[in-house]
Amino acid sequence: MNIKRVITLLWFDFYHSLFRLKGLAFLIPFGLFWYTLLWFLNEGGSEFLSSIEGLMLISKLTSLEVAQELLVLHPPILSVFLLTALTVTPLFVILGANNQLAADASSGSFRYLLSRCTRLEIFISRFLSAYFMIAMGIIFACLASTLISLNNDNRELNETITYALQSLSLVLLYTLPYVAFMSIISAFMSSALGTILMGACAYVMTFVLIIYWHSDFPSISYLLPNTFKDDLIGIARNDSVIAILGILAMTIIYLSIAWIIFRKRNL
Amino acid sequence: MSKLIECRKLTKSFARKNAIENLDLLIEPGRTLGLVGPNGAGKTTLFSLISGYLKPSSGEIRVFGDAPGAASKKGRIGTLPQDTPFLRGISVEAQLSLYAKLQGYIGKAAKSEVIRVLEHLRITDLAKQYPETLSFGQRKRVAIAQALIGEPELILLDEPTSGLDPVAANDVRNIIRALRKQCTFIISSHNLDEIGDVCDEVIIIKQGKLVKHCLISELVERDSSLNLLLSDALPEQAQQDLNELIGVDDVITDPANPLRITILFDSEQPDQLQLEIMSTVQKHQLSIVEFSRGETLTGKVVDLVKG
Repeated sequence: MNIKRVITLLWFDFYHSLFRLKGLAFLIPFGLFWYTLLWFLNEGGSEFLSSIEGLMLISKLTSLEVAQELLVLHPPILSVFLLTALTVTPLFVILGANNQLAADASSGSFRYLLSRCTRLEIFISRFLSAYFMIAMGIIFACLASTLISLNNDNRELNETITYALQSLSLVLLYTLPYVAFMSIISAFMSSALGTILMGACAYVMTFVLIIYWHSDFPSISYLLPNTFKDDLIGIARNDSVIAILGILAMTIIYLSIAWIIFRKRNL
Repeated sequence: MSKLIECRKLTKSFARKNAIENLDLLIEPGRTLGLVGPNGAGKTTLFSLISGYLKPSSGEIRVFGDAPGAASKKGRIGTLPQDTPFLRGISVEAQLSLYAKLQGYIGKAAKSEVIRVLEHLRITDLAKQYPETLSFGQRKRVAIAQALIGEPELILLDEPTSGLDPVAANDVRNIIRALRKQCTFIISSHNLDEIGDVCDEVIIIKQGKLVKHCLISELVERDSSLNLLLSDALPEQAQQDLNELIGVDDVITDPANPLRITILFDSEQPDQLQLEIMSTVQKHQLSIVEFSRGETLTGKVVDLVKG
């Protein structure tokens, strides 16, 4: 694999996605969602979060114990960013990472690339391009949350910055396996819309299967990255380390499956 | 001399149907080859296998001694795939610059290379346009331009002149003629006059199997045929009368144009037979619009494919 070619492909796809339907289908809903939420937090949301109603609402995204700790021990607005970002990751990744390979593979556009680079270079660059675009959105959302937190949460600058970086890292890490999951779907589908629908169906069906079979086969929950969500934001550090390793392993497994499908695909 | 392309027992199936079946083929560098055959013969499939778009179902294919997708060969092959769209919403120049960069050109050198190939095709005015705003012929010329980026050693062209106006088609043929000393061309086309004009070797395939691979001069060396373009299609009775003439071997009607017939003969008095043939044709109230002596590639290919 030629790293220079991967970077060339990655930059081209990333840059042009920002101005085409491929990227705008993610950036516009993602921007609107975070603009609305952060506007609410900036307009007195901090007071709401410190109330019982706020605590109860946040506890819907995690357990009551974790919600309590996040809102008390850490800047609350950044805690809301962390919990919300982790919760909405599957939805926005489906919008942002659906067209990694599908449309160009079926239209034949990859043929112009194939005499100049390998399938693996195309595959890796498209995965990274989709990931970087989603990561860029998350970084902007985190940056805005940090500024609002500094303005509203009355915490030390160092504490806020450290917690913001920690939250950002966790969300970026948690996004990885979802983008890889969409790689699998995109590797065999033939359109972006089809990939969105198939991705959503595959995710929901796996989720339902996990709920249904979890009591009999607890390990089935490791089919989706959701299982590591609570560990990632958990209190015990050891759990977080296991979660990080688990998420990285899941990303590699998903990507391997996607690559096996894509390398055999007729282009 | 090392082989440029080697196919051994190459098979490609789609839904259990063999598009290419047990094909053995050796191609040496420095040639200009025509890849011909009827619709569904497997030309585009073979083309796609050589280009690495498709993976063989079984057998082996090597290009420059390696698998078609091998990273080390990238940039040595230029391809014009059939009817393949460019990305929408990205200018021609930006897309061609990407291809140049992938072939190792950096910064301004990539832009210069793009301008060079666009000038070659006389389409520099299309550089800033989006592919979706171009006509079919313009897109085809842009696609040919991308195949020439980086002066590749092997250029594969699938139907390079279909959809082009006569001037543009002639430009493309002139480019092939000008470059064929520097690189190997494989041209897939239904236009056999064009293949006969620019190629020195021909590969004929039918139903996924190799029918013939030889020099065109070996294939059409006989001077014992007449090519006629008639005012109307040849009636059955006229065909029978022609076949009954002493010395006539076969009467072949061009499937693409029923007005065009090729008459193969083996006679000690070819001029006399020629007069008899013309008189037989006229007896059936048919006018001869065009007439030429000597076997054409079209006639030979039709003959081989029919057989």
